[in-house]
Amino acid sequence: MTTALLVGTGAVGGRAARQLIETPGIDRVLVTDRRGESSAALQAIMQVEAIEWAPPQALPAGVGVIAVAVPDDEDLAVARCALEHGVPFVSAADDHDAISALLGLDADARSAGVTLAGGCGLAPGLADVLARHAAAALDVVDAVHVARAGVAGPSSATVVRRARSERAVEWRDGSWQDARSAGPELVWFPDPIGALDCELAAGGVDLVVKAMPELSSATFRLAEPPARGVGERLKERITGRSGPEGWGATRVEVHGSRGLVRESIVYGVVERTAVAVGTVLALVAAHLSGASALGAPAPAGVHGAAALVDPVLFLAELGRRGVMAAAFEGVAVA
Amino acid sequence: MVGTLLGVKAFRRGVFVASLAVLASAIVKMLSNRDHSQPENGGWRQLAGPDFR
Repeated sequence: MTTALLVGTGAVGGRAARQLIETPGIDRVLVTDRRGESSAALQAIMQVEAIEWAPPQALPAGVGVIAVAVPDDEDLAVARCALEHGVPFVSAADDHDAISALLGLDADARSAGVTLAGGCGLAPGLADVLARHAAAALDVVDAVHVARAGVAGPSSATVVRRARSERAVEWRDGSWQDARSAGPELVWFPDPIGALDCELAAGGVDLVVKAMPELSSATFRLAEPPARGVGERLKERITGRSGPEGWGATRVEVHGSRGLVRESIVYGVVERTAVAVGTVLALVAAHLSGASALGAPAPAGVHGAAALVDPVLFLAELGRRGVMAAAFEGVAVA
Repeated sequence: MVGTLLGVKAFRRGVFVASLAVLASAIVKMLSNRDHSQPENGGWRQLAGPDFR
């Protein structure tokens, strides 16, 4: 039995807490949030213990894993604290800068024998696992193209809007290069999302490339978050809570060959964004804590979900918890 | 009589401007769709165990 510390009790944190509670092998879930009332509210409706904790304070006794669902600029301090205490760390942060900063701790984590997992959300995160799952069906993998629609709360929407407007990079021929300004591309997600214009962005496939450096091409695209009305923004500001959650989806295209035949495999997932992200975060945390065996023992260092879990075991557990992956069967038509 | 002629001229001018607007919007729409991939023919099938393929 182990204790999990969940930092951040917003839209994603709430879902992750629910999943952690329902994990056999995790008998205690501590939750903390800079807004103390948020974690207290969670304690009122779930079997979690709200505590006041923030890095660099000493970790509460017995914590076996730290799961983090806070804005991207706040998770690095928690990661450093986890490293100091030798406790596995999982973050749902999906921002390019946040993932790059976490990767900067790779050498320290390896030497300390600690696993730090970054980008454990919908995409990056679940998309990485799907990419690895597709790659396992091919002899040679050339390209991975990931797209995501949907955000989990206002902080996530801000990150996506910024990522869409900033300089995009893509992995091409063994190095990161400035993405050509090709404009938006129409990406077909599973229903009910359907087709959306997606812009190239940085950050979403960093950890996929780290796990599969033999790729010759990898790109990440993001759909525009749905606009919120003035009334909705005002309500969020007053209550501190986001409005009704929208759908989120990811689509992963993997191109390669099997024998002499060229093949493309397309996987996708559609779910309420916060539910999907929270579930992925909790499952990776459960695996790192040893509460759930979803793959081989995690290697030390900074890794994405794809390098930490067995895709089949992970997808099976994900499906058991209601997040179902799908395969696209069909062809592009003129 | 003069008033009628002026009305016809204004009407023709309006039709001309509207035609230009329609043409311009069609060109803009065509250009903005240039980079889009083609729609797909097929569907999504839920993955199931034991191999989730």
